[in-house]
Amino acid sequence: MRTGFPCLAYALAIVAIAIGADRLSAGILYGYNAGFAPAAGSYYHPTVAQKLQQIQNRDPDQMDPLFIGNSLTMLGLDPASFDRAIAQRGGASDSYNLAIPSVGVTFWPEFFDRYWRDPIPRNLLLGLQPRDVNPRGTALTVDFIDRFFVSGGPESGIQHFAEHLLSSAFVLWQRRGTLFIDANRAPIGTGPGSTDITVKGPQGFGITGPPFTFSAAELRRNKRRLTPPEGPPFEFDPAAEQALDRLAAQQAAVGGRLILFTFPIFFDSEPEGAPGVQADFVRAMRSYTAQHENVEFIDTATETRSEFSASDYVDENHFDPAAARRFSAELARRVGPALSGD
Amino acid sequence: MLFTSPEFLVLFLPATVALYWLVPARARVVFLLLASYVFYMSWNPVYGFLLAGSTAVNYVLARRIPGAANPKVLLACGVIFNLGMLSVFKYAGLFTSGAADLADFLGVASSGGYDGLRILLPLGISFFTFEMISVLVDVYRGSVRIGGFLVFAAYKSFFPKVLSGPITRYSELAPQLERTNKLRFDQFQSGLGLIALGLAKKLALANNLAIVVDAVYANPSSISAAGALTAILAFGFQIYFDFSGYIDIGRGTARLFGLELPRNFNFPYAATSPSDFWRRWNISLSRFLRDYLYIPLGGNRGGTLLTYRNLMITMVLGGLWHGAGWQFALWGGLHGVLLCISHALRGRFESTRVTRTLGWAVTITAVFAIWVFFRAPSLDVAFDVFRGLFNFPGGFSVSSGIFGGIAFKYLLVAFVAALLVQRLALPVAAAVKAAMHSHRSLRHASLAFATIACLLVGFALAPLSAPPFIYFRF
Repeated sequence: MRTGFPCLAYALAIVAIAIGADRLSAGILYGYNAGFAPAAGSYYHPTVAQKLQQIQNRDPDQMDPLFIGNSLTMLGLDPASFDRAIAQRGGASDSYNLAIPSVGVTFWPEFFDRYWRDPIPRNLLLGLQPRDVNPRGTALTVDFIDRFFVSGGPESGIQHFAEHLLSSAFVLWQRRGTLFIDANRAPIGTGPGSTDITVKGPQGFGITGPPFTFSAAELRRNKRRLTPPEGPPFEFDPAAEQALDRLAAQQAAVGGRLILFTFPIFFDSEPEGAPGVQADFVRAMRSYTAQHENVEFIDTATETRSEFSASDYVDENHFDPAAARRFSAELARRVGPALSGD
Repeated sequence: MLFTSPEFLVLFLPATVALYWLVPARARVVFLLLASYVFYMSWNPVYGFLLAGSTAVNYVLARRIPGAANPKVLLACGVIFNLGMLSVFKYAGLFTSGAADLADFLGVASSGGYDGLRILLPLGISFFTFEMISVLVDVYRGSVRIGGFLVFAAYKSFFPKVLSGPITRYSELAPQLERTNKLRFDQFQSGLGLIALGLAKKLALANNLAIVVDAVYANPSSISAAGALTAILAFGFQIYFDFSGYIDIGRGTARLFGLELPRNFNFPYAATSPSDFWRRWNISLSRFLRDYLYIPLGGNRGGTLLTYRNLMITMVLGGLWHGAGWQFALWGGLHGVLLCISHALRGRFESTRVTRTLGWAVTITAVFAIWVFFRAPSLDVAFDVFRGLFNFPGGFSVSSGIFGGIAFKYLLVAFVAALLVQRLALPVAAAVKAAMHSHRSLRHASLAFATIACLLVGFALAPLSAPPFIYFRF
């Protein structure tokens, strides 16, 4: 035991100094050093870590509904505005926006199966666009799934706990993916990089800053120039359909609902932005929900498009914060009756 | 449970080390045995039964050999048992697919594209098979006496070395397990340092180099000269950092239990001849091949031609030990040829700085080139990579990983610089070691600093994917 204590003290000192150096480095590299979640793994966008951290600090039994989706949802849905609108109609909700930039729908069942340990909220609201459910979106999402789940397979409770512990202690643990998007770009944080989206407030709502925003005139000009007149026919990817099935089954198991909704984007310069593709997508979603009892589709894009103009967007398809708040209230009005209660 | 996985680093390792020193000294071997089986069976519980069965059979044989009327028969039974087990699990696929190909070739029967028997390979089987053979031979020679079953089982399953070595002799580990060892601060401190160094080698270097190498080997038929050269150099470093990283973590872990495992690497890329390389690379395997194969075959005692024959047999079998594939046989065979040439040239040149440097350059070039057969999934792919060396138009880049986007010329400079560092590191390392021994506080401070730096580098630069150690396949 005489040697035991110096050994223990040495090991603890090494770990403590390493953690201190790690925090210091993270503070310099990221521009902020608080709020790092024990992320399941490295992910290219630092907001994800913040969101996971926020989620941990919330009462999982209270959190409902949960918004998921990609950057359209992250920037387009303000949970506080949504909750206020629900409250004005006599309801109660404590929502959270867990949307993650760039991921397609196939990401989410993996996320719930492999990362999520809290009770599943009864209402899962998934913001969708054609790219989230077509083969291109599925193919792109494969990489995001790999990045998120470093361990590469379903994790046991012990693996999850250990990963949690290590990444809580060391901010930089396997976070190389956020240090280097690729070797030619500067580290994220204080330099140029992928800091265009930041989390605003405690409910996961995201906003984007001036270097990445366009004026209304620029957007109108771009829309004329860049909207594709037609694209390849919309194809509902079987893997995406399967992912929706898994989410629907997950919600059914807790007596809850999966609600799909859309965003009234200003335009989309990619092939999925063609009007025909958008229309086919809506038809496919309607047909899908008709076959599932606990899945609802609300085409908020079509229903609210007339209420938003170029000045409501920061770029071709993301809302600015004020428009996001308005849209959130509109969604609450439409979705309110569909929410599952106790 | 990889050595680099969170569950090993934050749960299994600290818990086993703490409990080991807390349990009564006489119970430590039992504890270590249990911990090793938990570790081994975390991959696949069925593996544990195989390990236990092999342990029991070898223990009975090792105990009976000394008093047996005909110990040679028991030794032969033991060797056949161990090699038989290795053959079934590791080479059944190669033999059955080879037989099917032969049947196709001779027109005796159509294999219908039969790919050979596929049996789940128990992890570490190549390593513990060799260890068991070494025990039986040593017992037969009378140089080792086997003690209790628990010590024998703990020696065989000791988790810091069971999966990928170093191949440890009974006489190197069992006496340490038998006596009541004491925790020593110096040993504990250097153990932590070795673990951190191993993590940095594996996570920051090997895993990132793997991205570069995998990009080339994924599409070898269209690779340019720059890509082929980059892949050849990158793999030489990848396998070194990967394997020596694993060994460092294993040896460091053993030290936390107050136990020493043999050294397996000694600046291999500073070697000035092929035989020098094999004295520095995978030392425990070279030692096994020398003592239990090359020398029993006759070594260099039967004249030049027999020496060459023995070298070739030893190295081809050594190559096949790594994997059931003809590319491994060729890899071993080419090393055999290098050793024969080295043997033939021995004494013909005076050892000067110039000849040593030339010897180093030629040895390293050959070793790196031969690694291609080791890495390639088949001989066709290996030849594609060599053909790529003459495909001059076109550049090469990898878009991801810490080496991603770096121009080929800079990568090349970095690799050559890394080789030179290893070549020049030998005298520097000796000087540093001497300075450390004479200045105790300097030793503590620099070890602590290096441990922290390696931990942070390893943690921060680990790529997204965490491939297992290369030698786990063997």
